[in-house]
Amino acid sequence: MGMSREPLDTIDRLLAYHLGTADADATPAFQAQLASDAALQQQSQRLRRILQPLQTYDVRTPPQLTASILQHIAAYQAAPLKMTPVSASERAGRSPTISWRDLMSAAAAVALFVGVMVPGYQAARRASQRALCMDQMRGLGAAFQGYAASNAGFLPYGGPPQESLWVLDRGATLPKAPSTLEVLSRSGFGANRPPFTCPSDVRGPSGSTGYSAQNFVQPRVVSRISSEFPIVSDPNPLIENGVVHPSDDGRNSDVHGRNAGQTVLRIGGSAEWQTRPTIGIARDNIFQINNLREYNVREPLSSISDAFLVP
Amino acid sequence: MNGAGAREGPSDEALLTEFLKGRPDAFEALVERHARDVYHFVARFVGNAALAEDVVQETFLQVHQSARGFDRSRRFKPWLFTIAANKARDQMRSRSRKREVSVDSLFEGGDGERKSLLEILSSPADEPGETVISDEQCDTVRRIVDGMPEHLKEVLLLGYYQRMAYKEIAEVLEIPLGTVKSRLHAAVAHFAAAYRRRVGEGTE
Repeated sequence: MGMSREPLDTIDRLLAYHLGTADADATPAFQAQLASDAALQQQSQRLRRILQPLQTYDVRTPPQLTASILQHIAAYQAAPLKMTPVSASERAGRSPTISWRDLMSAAAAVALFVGVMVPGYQAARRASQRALCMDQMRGLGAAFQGYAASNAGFLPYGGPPQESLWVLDRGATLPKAPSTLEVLSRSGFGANRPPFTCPSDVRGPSGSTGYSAQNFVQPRVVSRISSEFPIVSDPNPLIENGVVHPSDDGRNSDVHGRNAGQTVLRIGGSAEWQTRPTIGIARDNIFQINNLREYNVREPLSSISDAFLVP
Repeated sequence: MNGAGAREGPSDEALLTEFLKGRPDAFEALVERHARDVYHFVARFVGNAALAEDVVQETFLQVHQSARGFDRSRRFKPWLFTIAANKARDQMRSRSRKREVSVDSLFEGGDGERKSLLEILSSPADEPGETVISDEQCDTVRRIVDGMPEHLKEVLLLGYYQRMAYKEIAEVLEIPLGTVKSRLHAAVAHFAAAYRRRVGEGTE
């Protein structure tokens, strides 16, 4: 915005100096600059006073912290059920035949096991997949930032949305839309990160599905977008296996079954699980163009700030 | 101070290698070495001691489970703090404590003003007074830090309390170096404005 970088660099060094994180080699030169610059000395005094109250925020470490961590890990490792076979001595004296009571007991035990363990296992699996998805999303977030840092601040741009046949009539097969993710992938950013898939949708084919991503109206500079702006999510709830789902009214449909919701990446780098489509800045509906009741073809985004994630 | 300082004995990376060779005591040494710093970071991040202990346990559990996949080109400590920060963020969101923050509300200026750190440091009108430490002010600081937007809070915690260099913070948060600097400026400016406003309110 027209401000010279030099004063900001000085503040960077001043901050590092007061935080105690300055490079040891650079400290003597900065101290010399400080000694000869009265204005800088004043700034230094002010910064010291600003930071001073922070030291009052003390934290007391729990006395058995290390032990509790190691116990937690040990408990996790021991968690898988160890099935102990019945010993010969325990079986001694019992008839080798199986009574109806034995059979019913076994059936009840199996039913109980299935009833208790399977939902728990599925819930744990979903939670684990969501966590993995969030981790991969954050990797993508870093890739976006890396791309912007190497391209004068500009985010990957997949082309004008008017040329994107991203949604057709319900039941139609989706054509390929120019995607920011394709540009990101082609540029090499994120190549050493997890693949461009997100396994949080357990119902998806082979357990992994693609992302939905923002196609901008025009090339955008990352620093001029709110950090809350949604840029990527795992599948659009309106799309199932490449086909528009009947419930295309912009809400979270039951496409994902009990897993209804999406993992959403914001441009600031945070990823979270969302069960509502109306998120982001101005509570934008990330799966529906503003003020549009039904999709046809070639709808342009309604504004530069419309976060509409295309499959 | 929570800074790393010079350490005796094998490096973190050497201890992790020993652990992967089958020496559980090497992992215990890593926990012993870093648990306190990670706990302090997480406790200030989530603002809740009990929750922080859970997050720290989960952090080291993930380190234990993922050790074999550790990228040897990285250093251990930033990797550890990356995991801790991610776990803390997830925990905050799972407890629905996330605050929606607009860009315009990043600075608490009282009268809606938005001043950069450079402006604050250059303006005699913003001259902060010497702080007299009291329990009330400790609580004020805690509340301000607790209420900060996550992306500013994590940079401030790593920079001020963990004494991490800018480059190390960038590695932990997986963001560019320039972003670390700008966020640290914003975080200190945010804190200065909020503290001035709260202390001012208390004395009027």
